[in-house]
Amino acid sequence: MHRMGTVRLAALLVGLALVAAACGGGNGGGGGGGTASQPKQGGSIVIGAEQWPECLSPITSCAQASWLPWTGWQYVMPRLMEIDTKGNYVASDLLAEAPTEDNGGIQNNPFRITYKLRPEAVWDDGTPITSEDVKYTWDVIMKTTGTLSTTGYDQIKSIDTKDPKTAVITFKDTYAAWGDLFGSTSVNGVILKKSAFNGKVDLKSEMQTSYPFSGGPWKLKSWSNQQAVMVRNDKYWVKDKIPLLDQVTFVPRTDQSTEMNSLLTGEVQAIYPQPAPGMGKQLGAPGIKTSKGNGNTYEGLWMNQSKPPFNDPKVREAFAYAVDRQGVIDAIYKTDFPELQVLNCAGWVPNVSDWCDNTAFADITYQPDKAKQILQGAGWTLGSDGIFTKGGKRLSIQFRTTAGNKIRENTQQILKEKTKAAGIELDIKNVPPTQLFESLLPKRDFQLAEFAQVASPDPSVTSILACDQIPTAENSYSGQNSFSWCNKQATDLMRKSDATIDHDQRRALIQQINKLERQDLPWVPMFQKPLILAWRDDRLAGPIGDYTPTSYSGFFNMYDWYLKS
Amino acid sequence: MLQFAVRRLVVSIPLLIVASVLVFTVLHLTTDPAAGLRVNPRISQADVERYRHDLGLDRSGPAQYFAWLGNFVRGNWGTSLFTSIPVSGQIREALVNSMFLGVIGFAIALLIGVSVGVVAAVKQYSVFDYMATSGAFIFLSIPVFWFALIVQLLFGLYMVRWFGLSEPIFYTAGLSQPGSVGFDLVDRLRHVALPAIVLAVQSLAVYSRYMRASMLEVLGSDYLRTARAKGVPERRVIVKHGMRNALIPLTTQAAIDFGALAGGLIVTEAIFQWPGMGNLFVRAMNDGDYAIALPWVMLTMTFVIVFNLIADILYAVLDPRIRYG
Repeated sequence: MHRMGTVRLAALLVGLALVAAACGGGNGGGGGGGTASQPKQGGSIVIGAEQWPECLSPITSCAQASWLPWTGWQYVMPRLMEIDTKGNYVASDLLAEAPTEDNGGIQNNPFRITYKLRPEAVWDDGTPITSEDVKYTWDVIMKTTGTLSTTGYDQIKSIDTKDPKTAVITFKDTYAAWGDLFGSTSVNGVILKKSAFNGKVDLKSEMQTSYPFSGGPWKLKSWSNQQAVMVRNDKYWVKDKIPLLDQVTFVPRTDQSTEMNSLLTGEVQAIYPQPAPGMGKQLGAPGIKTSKGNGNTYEGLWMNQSKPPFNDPKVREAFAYAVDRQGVIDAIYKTDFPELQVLNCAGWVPNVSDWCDNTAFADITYQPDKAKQILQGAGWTLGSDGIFTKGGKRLSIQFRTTAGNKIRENTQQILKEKTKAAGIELDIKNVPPTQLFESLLPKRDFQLAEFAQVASPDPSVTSILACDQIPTAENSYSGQNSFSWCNKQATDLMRKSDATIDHDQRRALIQQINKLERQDLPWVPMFQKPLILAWRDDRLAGPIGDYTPTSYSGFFNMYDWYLKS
Repeated sequence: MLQFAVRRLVVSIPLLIVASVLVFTVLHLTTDPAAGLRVNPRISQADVERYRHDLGLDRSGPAQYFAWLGNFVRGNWGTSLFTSIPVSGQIREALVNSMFLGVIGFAIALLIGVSVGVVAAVKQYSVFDYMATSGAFIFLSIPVFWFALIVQLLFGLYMVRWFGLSEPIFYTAGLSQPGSVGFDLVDRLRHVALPAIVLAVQSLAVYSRYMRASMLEVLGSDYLRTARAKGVPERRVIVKHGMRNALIPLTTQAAIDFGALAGGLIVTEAIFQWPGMGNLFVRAMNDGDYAIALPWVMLTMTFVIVFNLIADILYAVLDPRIRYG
């Protein structure tokens, strides 16, 4: 009896402790207010991350994770150039100014970029950030075992560090994408602190679970597979970017339903979820606000010109008119993303710099009758089953995408119905992503595929569209031009663009490439993937949402966020 | 008995190897650790090839497997393909988390399942019995992911509103309060409660049905009638004589279930963001990280094999009529 009584008492105490803890208030998030408030310092928030990086290094394979910069290094590490909200390269806080030809920052023969670092720029221990750190970062990128990408860095001939606050980078040849180096949003977009690693250049095992320095507005206090805790870096030299919040904790919410529930319950105060049908209704709950925009990832229908039927330009043209791009957007996205539009550039997007004026493919609208006329003019005959035939072969096209991607699978179903009205049959045969990207595309073993590409501030499309990038057995199936589009004029323009530094001249070249793409129709651009940032408007305030459509994620300017009182 | 146990363990070694070969083959054929690189326009094909070489992925499948196996049997579990973090540490941490959740959920399931089963059997065809039977079938029919999301909303949102709490009594995800450091028992219990409830619900339904059936069989036996005839109090008859014997089949089932806990609970852990073995395995499979997936398989299968053996031994201990030669 006595033992039973003790157990009951213990159970009662645990129960009371739980209820007391629930009534006692939390240690984050702040109270609900909903009224307009003035920026104030202090407090902490929790942000839900839809993907969780497995480690932190911005140099090695850890950097494959798209959420790594969004939950890690972009808040902690300085960079040279960075990307503004319009997708243009601009000077980061580390630079006194962006290098230009006018200020002598860009020189030719040899091609040389001079970066002037701000005198007041310091690491979190107060030591200055110097050109030696820039040179050291280059060494690390080139010499670390398992380094993820040396693209561009292998074009650097030397880095002059005579002046600690001036880094002069000399290239082997003209390199138009110079802004991407030490500032990319995906890999290597950082400057490392040389003294933090005692000059060691193979950082294979470093920065797995911590960053031993900071040169950004935040410091990474701790990191695990459960949370990344950021605290204010009081030494940050741009005073109005010293965070208002004391602490931001990122937590994994890799199941989207849980992610939504965590926002609804207030356990997290902001999320940046992958758009999904029906999401808008859930995020319409009281106390929640959203900001939407178009991302730099764009979806397309890619035609293989090395095989029938897309080796016939007339079939490609007819197919383009049989694709109801607007219909797909209306059916899948319009409810939640009413601003989403058809993409009319082939390789660029309107909100990443000004390479795309969104007009080149504007005449490609859903016109099934026109598609039929083009096919009939090319010798195709409409069969009794409503599908065109020529030489005894039906116009049935094998259509592949990544199996399991619901939005793409829904898109396929819509397109299948729409193209049928134009006498074109789509035979849907989906495969796992690995099979599509590792086997079918490199071997050009497909007819039609739907997948996404990423637009970068540097407009080069050479790696995916130049003639010499067609994968073949001779080049060990390297190159990403799986569509086999080979237009010599376009390839020459791409090479010329890659060697052109002047923005306006380069833009004119890009426009010409875009027109040739429209003429030859190697693929049909569909739309940019929408992005959404959702937050607890009853708890958080500030310029939230300003960075939603950027490659830095909607959390980039959280140094300006604050708790509502 | 010892000979039997040793023989069973030795026989299971080929089973472990076959399982690891199967998992490696599936990973090798369906995943590519470098897949993320190929869609990045800033990463060249040469970068991808160099990266694959650095990770040893350009070797043949058998060469990769045997290199791993050689290290594994020498006690070197290596590091993840993606990180330099030791695999043994990751698995240990995940196993501790899964077992913490599993043991609590298991205890709840056993406690409630056995109690409900006994009462339902003793009060056969009563309102309680009908309710217990219906409840068990409902719990068995509920999809885990749906139930998990419902309890998240119920405890995390609606109860907070109804009772005017400043925060939920039980948290809806994670292992501990974001931003906190160290171990806080109350905080950990508030986080484990909901996944443990979800885990327990289906198991307790099964255990209650087991217990009810077993108890009904025992209640009609001669030795219970004898005990009653001798004047033993009814409570003692049920608890000491009835329940003890009725627990034998449930004990073996529970031992087997307990062994499976080492593998984690993929759906429950995913929804409640619980960093256990289920989550670790899914991550390894998605990444094609055989350096984690293969030791994971070896460990979880060993648990299953050992606990199956324990179940067999327990059966013999609890029922002396059974002997192993």
